[in-house]
Amino acid sequence: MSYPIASSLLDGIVLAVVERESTYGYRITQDVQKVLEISESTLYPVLRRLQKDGCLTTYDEAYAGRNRRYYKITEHGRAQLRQHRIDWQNYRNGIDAIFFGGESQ
Amino acid sequence: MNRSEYMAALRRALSVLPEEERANALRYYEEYFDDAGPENEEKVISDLGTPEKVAAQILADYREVAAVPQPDGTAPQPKKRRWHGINPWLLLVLVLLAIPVGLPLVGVLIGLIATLFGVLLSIVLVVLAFVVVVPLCLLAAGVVLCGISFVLWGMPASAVTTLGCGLALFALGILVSLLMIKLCTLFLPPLFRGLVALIRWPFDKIRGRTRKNGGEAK
Repeated sequence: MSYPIASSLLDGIVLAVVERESTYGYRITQDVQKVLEISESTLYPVLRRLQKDGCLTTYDEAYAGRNRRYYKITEHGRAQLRQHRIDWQNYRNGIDAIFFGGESQ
Repeated sequence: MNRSEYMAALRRALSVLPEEERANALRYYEEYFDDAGPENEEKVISDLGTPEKVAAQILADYREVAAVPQPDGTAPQPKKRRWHGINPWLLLVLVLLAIPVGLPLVGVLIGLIATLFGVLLSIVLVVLAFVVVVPLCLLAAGVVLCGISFVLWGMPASAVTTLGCGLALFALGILVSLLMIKLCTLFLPPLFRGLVALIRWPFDKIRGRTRKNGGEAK
């Protein structure tokens, strides 16, 4: 069973992946797919939106005789990610309280 | 479907996007194929789904983002309707001020058009009169001369001459009538079309849709 993923949660996940290290589209998709069942075509619109919102920037780097586009988190992106972490913790605590009858830290 | 066919279909499906947006999306998927490696080409195509599905996701998101231009996350606001062009009150004042000058100008214009129309109409009437009256006169003269010849039976020579002249005129009248009918069928339709085109021309001009060529008589 899988839960539908809200687009704000997906934004937070992608920001977290890119925060670890600047990386490229295919790798981001692979990383996210390790934990979530998302379609391969879901991530481009997310990356594009985060870029438009100023959370991510891109730069090109030569790789294997071609240019590869890397995504890099911005200060604004980091701030958003902090907020996502807080929101997620509150959300998870609420669900945990119902599921397990007690607050998880 | 191979990679290049897939990308071509994606390009077509994204054709409504601005050039830069489309180029970015296509580049992303080109790189996706590159990074997956040629051995995974078929798997990537089946994982991505149809190009139309991929395009639909991009387009849906594009519309959403386009509706929210503020990157600082403020709520999307419907664009306020604004008057582009002249303020309506200013326009009213301008119209009022233009009346003293405009009315005579309009009058002159209408006069000119009426005059032109009148001249055209009179030319048409004269031509019509000519076409109708000349054959009719010839025919009538023929008949009258024939009639006179009957009165002149006292002088057979004169009577025969008059009768001959009358018949000749009558025949000439028939010939001219036929000629006129022929001329009418030849020249009236194009003339009429030309006239219609001439009258329509200013209206087409007003609409501003007159093509540079062929806007007049077809």
